[in-house]
Amino acid sequence: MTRKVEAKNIRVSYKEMEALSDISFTLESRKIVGLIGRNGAGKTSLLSILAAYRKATSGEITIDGEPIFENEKAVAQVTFVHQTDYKDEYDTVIQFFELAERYRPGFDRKYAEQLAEIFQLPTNKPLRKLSTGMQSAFNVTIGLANKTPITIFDEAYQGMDAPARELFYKEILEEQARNPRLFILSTHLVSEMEYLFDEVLIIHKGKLIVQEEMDSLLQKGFSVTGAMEDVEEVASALNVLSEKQLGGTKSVMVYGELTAETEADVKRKGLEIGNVSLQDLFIQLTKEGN
Amino acid sequence: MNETGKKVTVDLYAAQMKWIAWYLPIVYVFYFVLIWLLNEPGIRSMSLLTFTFQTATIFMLICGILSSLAFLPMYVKHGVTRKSYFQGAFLSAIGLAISLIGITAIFTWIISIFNMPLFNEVVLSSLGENSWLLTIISYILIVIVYFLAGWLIGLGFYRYGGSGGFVSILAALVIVFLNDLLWEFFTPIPVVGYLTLSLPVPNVAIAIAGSIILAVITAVLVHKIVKDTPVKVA
Repeated sequence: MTRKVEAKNIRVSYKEMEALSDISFTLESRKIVGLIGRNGAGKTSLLSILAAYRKATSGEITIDGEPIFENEKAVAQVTFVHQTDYKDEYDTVIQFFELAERYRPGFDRKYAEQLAEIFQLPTNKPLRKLSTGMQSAFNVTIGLANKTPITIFDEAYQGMDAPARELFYKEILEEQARNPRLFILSTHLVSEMEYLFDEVLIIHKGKLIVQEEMDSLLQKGFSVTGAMEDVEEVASALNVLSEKQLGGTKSVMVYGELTAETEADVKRKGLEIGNVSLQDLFIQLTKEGN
Repeated sequence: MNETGKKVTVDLYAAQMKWIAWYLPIVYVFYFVLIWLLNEPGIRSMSLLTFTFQTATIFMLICGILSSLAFLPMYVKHGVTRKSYFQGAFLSAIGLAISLIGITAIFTWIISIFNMPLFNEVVLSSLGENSWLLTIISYILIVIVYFLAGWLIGLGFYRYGGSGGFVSILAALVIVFLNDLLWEFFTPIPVVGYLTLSLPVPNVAIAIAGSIILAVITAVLVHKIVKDTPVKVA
């Protein structure tokens, strides 16, 4: 199940507002990709295009070279899990399993039932009677059990408590080991989920500002701490995201490649290089003014 | 049509037939009660088929509205294209209309062979005393037009929101109005019935042809809206 998703110059506009502008990327299968961005950054718009929920205003998105929108073969490969309003839904979890079984050739009924048990889903109750967390657990169950080569979870954890979220993350990792596919996880809970990601996309104000493998992204972001003057001297050549100061000690958060020359300079001055988390990078890269 | 389109047709037909299984018995009971209790010539001469047909127009209109609001997002979510949904919803609506009118025609015929005094004054339809085939075809066609009008309204609201929804209501009203006008001489009709507009209508053949044209125009409009309609998240 090797699948390649390619987006070329995607633009989406609603009336006067431009939700996405000129987004291009390639995603390879067998990866867990984190899509992060602030509220209104355009995450859901992007995922909607990917799942053929809507057509891009311009540009194209393809799976293995085939355009997705209204393409029977392509849409069958994608599952898009998002918050859904079930307040008028009288059908039960079991009935939804039957529906998925009928329209999703890869739907694994046994696995769905196992997941229902893990999440303690009441399978004979109408969905409208389930709590928000249970409804999310149900969405997640369908998403995992559909076993489509491309599975998208758009803030799928809403209302789920911490233990349920942990089970969800664990299931993604286990499922990725058993049946590798392309998972795209859009999230606000960056610190909680960053260990899942192989690759990260950060979108900000409708633009893709970062696409990196998780390892190299974390290498690009680092902190430099030490005596104020020394740190300032080194930082002048770097892309500084934020700075903190306590007495004569200063710490800066930096994003970018660390050249050998700078590294030597840092060592000479006895400054300390530290790691930063994805969450810190995300906050700084998307803060006001950027 | 591909496999998915066929599946959608069968499933939508089954889902809506469940509603019919509730709706028809209620209408039948209502008919018998009315004809039993009311001594009004207008009611006493009305056949079960014509009585059911009149309420079926509104029933089908509502089915049309629900088709877009409930089924379109559900199918897209399950990896079905809008095209397959359109085919499935359209064909299932035709099946629905045939079943609805067909089942009622059979019951009406059964009543007629018993020759009960209660139904002595009943006339099948204004298309003629024994115009079974013509009546059935006409009624099927008319309820299909009502379904399509409802579908147009539902989609207009789903896709364009309030203002666009009202435009689609207007369009649907025009379609239904024209359709009723075509049939004015032959059937008691819900919408034009309240207006005292009387235009000379040549004959049933023209009414049938006109309804088919209206149905095709509405279906084309629906298709144009549905083919790239965005599905909402949440």
